[in-house]
Amino acid sequence: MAEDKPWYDGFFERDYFDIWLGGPVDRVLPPQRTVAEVDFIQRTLGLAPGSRILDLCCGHGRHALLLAERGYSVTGVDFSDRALRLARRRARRAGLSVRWLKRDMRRIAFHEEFDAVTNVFTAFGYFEPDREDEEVLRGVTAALKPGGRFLIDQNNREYLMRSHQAHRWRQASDGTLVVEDVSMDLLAGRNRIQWFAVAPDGSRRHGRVDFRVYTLREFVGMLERAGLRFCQVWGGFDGQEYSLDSRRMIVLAEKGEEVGNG
Amino acid sequence: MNEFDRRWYADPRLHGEDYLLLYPPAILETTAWQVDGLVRLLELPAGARVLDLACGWGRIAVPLAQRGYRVTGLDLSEAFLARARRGAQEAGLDIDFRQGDMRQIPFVAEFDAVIMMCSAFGVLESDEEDEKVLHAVARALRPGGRFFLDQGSREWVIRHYRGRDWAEREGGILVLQERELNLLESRNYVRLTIIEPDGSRRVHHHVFRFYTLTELVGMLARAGLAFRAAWGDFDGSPYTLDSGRMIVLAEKEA
Repeated sequence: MAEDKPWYDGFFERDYFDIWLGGPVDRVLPPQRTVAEVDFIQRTLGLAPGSRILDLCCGHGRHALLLAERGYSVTGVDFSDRALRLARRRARRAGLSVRWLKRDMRRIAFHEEFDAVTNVFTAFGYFEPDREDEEVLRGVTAALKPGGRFLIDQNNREYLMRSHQAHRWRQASDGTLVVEDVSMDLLAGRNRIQWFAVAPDGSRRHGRVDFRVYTLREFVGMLERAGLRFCQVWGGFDGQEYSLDSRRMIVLAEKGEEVGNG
Repeated sequence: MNEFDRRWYADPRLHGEDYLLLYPPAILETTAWQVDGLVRLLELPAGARVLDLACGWGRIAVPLAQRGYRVTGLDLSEAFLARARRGAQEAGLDIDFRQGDMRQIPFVAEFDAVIMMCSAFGVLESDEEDEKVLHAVARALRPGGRFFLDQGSREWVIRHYRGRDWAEREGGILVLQERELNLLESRNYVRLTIIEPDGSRRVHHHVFRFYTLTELVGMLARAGLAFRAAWGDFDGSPYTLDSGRMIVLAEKEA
């Protein structure tokens, strides 16, 4: 499976926006969806106005911008230059002030700076082996003030298992076909996707998407090892109960109050 | 879930006829086939010393000894062991059946192989207690010795989850199962009701931890057991999303 370059290296500069999303970002991820997600984030984090939030893997700033608009002091971190360019442009247009930083999520290097950290839309589980994902969580713990909260939104592994389909395809809004060959590596606990896209002119591009899918039990164990305490789990941004058939696994965790924890 | 006792596995009510009602009679017909697979997948040399951990009433230990392996059986239940000893005697076999807890295996560097069959792993009070079993297994194995673990597949349970089902056994006995899956613990809480033809009922509560292969391989490594292979059944087919079993082979580092 291993190739020289990790799949995420470069993916978010080009293919993610041009092919993988399946159309223009605002059509695929319409503003009303973001509003509902940010409503949930705001409700579950329960932060005072002006609180400091780190949106880890903020992408083009979909959630970060709306959180800033609602009066929080927001930092957005991502590794994609293209995503950050988009985010900066949008912030400028909307007259919003967000601190945008390009950083590798394994090395965010903040110290007790934030009241909350968010990580949404499956921006976790990229690294192999698992201990590099654990490094990300340790960075989150370090970045949080004592008592700070972490909200993370991932795929629900149980739903992926139950709905697994090895061969699937979809059509992007410009007519490009995205053909996926999905395999579940049960030893590594990873969903490994080989894809190719066929543009309307017949030209092809191919690539990989490969991420770890943690069970809730596995993930809570990892949170604990990183110094975070599990608080709650939901199955979607509508606040539904987490179950075998939920699409998402949204976990709220907390850093202990004691000074020097984590 | 107050009805559930975390030491349910030690309840003597379980170690009799009711346990046998849990499994379809067909499991007995597959025993020889399972033992064939076990011997082949373990690559057991003739006359090897094997510990059958949580051996129950000797379903595997007896046919394994019949094939010339030197077998020791360990189980918590005296009732099961009495039955196992009778079986060995009837077959004219010399099997060392001992009563004991799977966390405290009274052997050091003794066995060529330790086997654990039919989902006997994951029944203890916590993950830490389960992990103690693996440490005890590693201690009982000689360097290079192998551990063969036959579990129900977590992925199969997830993909075919049924909150309730039932089966009818010989003599018109009805076996009802109600399951509640706790995803935070990755445990299945099973309430079992046995209804006799005269209408009388007996209720049992079982709790099973389901480990993913990834979790199990990590636990094995921490106990000094290196992962070697995973299969989906005793025929050596690969472990996939559609496998009913998760069979794992690990080796004690030499």
